[in-house]
Amino acid sequence: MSTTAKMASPAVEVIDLAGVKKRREKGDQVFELHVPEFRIKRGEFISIVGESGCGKSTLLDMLGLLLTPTVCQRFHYSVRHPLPGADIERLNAPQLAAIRRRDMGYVLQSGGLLPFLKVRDNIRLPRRINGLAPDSAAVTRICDRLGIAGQLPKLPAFLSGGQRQRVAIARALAHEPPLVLADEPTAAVDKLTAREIRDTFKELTAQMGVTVIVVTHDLDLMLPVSDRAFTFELVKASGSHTISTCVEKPIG
Amino acid sequence: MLRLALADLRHEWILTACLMLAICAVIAPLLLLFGLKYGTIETLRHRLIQDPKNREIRPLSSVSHPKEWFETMRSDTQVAFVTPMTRQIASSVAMWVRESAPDSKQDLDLIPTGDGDPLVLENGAPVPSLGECVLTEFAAEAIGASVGDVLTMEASRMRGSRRETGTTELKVTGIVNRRASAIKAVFVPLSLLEDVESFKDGLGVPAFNWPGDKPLAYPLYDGVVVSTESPLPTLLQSRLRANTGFTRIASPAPAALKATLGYTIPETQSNILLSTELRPLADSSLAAVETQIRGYGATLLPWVRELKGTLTITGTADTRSVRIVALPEDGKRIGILPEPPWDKGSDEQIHAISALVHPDLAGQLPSADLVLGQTDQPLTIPLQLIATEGVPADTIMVGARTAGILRLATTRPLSFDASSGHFLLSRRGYAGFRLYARALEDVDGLRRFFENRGIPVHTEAQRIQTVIEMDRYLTLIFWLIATVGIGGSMASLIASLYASVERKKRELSVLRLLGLSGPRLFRFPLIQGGFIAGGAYLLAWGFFTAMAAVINHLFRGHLQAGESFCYLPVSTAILAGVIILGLACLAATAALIRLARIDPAEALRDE
Repeated sequence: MSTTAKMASPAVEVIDLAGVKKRREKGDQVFELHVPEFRIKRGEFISIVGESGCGKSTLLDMLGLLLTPTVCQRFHYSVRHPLPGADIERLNAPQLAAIRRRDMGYVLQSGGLLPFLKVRDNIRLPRRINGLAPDSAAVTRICDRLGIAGQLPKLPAFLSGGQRQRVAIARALAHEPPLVLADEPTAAVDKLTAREIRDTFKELTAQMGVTVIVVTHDLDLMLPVSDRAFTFELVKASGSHTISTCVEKPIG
Repeated sequence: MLRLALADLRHEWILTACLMLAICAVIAPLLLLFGLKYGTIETLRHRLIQDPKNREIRPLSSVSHPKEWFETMRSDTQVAFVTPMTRQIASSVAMWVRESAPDSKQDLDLIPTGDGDPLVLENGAPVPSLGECVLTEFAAEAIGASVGDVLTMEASRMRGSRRETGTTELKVTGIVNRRASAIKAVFVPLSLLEDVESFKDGLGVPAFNWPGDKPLAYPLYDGVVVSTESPLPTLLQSRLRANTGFTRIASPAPAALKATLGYTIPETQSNILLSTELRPLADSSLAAVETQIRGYGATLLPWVRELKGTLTITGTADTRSVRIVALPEDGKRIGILPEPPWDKGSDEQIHAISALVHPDLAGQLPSADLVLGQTDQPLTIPLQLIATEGVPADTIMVGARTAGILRLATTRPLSFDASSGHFLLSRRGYAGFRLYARALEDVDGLRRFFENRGIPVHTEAQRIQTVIEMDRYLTLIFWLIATVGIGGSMASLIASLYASVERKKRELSVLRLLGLSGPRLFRFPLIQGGFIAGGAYLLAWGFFTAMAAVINHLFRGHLQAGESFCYLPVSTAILAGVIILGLACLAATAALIRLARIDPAEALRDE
């Protein structure tokens, strides 16, 4: 699918990657991540599953525009309909930062909250950065749904792990981005809490029509709510050269 | 962003305070160092320039300087003030407050002063006029006097075994600042010192009714004619040069002798002219000659060398240059021509003012003024003219003793006291002086001026040079220390802020992840760095102010009003602040540039 074709018709794929490769070297160890094809449709809930070291975080960072691919046939982004999409390679750093700021929300493994800001201010941060009003009805609703309305005046340090992850989700959704990237959002909490957080997360993103990409090692936890899943196939090309290829994992 | 940055600092206030203290710890000593350097050098420089004592040029030996010399010095542009000084020994007097008991008297030194004396004027006192005085602080303490008091001054001298005193009263018009003089001294007009000196020399001072002698002038001669009826033995002739002061002996022909003397000695006389090439001789030399020729029936005719004066006939505009000839009274005995009308043994001082002149010169009023000397202090003598045949028109003839005194007038100043008809010795010159250069820079030039003229002087040139050199060395040492200090504080500042940015890696990465980039992201550590450095600087400044106050307090005994040992001008303080803030921003930027190269992804998952 070409850029022109996509610009002419409403894009179905919000993310469209083809022939993307990322090479990383650490000492004499070479790691290559190959992504032959990675297409995500609007509103999908995607899981990227794999053991640690398989490159799932690398893929997420590329999707989050924090890392640039070493080789790339196509890296097309079209999250904000009906605005025309863009080929990532053509954009400069401020433009990439603008997409991150506006179009994406992040949920990090350990929350990634700023320790010096109160919960309320942490949640407001993306709205402030985007020049939006600090509060909105949506934010209030999200906080209520996540059950953190009572935690707003506290500093993150006084929250439990589960509460921190909920705040992280609230922050990722606060500026109502069309895409949310989550890196092991439930890795640091117990199974029960993880399931609760997962369900609330799924519910909120579904209501808001947000496209979600979750990186996880816990396929069992995420599979029930995922529309599709991707995984990795590792091949040792030589003693120190590992190639990991991202492939879709059929569900069901 | 500002709020975000400050919220972070507040959240970690202990660390923020630590950073501030750390940076303050390196800045504060630097500020102190700067302050001390600036304060001490400025104080010393200020003192050197301000204190007139440092502009003083003091003679180390006493050489007599004539009055004209002081006039010349006064007109020198490098000289701010000069006053003659009497002999040191003559300046000591006793003083006490008039109303107090006389046994409270103290020996004080008189110091001559005059208009424009910087030592008095720049130390908070007016220049005293006649009947007034200014005390040094030590003198005022010693006799317990304050401004407005009337003091009794007592000069004393020994005459034989008798102690004589002369007193006068002086009003205290001022007390000079302590720095002016470390001795118990009194500033008075020069004339009072001259009077005290005269009194101590045994003379009287009519102005204060102090009894004593008059400084009578004495005659000086350049030679003497020994006139005898028959020639003196050759052996005796040669003896006349021994211990008499005369160095030359001649027997001129009568014509030559007339030309030399100005009058005629009868040809029957045998004459020897004894003379001196060097300094003229006094009466004692004549007495010595007289002793040698006793019993030979010789007549001594004192002689003075070519002596010129200006004669102004009273009542006319007739002013002419005349030759003054000594016409010895004793010549009458051997019949010299013209014949002297005076008798030896009469009051010489009185008849000294009568003179023989050509008949044409004595007009209706037989009087005239004779002016001697071309200096600015000419000696004017009123003359009684006696018209006498045989006196040339360009010559006046006076008694030998009068001529001798006029000869003296060519070597030192005299005055004529018309009331008594006495010639009096005027002050010859001054043993010393007090001289102040106009500016510090003139001191060395004046010192060379005096030393080139063989007058060794003491100046503060050495001290001035020392301060200038000390300034240079201190500046050098200061910069060496400052370089190390500045280097250290820069390193510390950069390290601290770099470390704080490093520590903020995760937070900065999160902000980057949230879409902050470029200038907006940079502002975060810049604001923090600026805030920490600014706070540290303010802290250091407070520390400096406190320490400076302590230092200035400790040294207050050595300081005068308005002086500080430790001081920084505001401009320097601002400059230092700007430099420190600049460095802080530089450090933060350096840390950020390094941070920007790291993948934010790595920073996020490094934990």
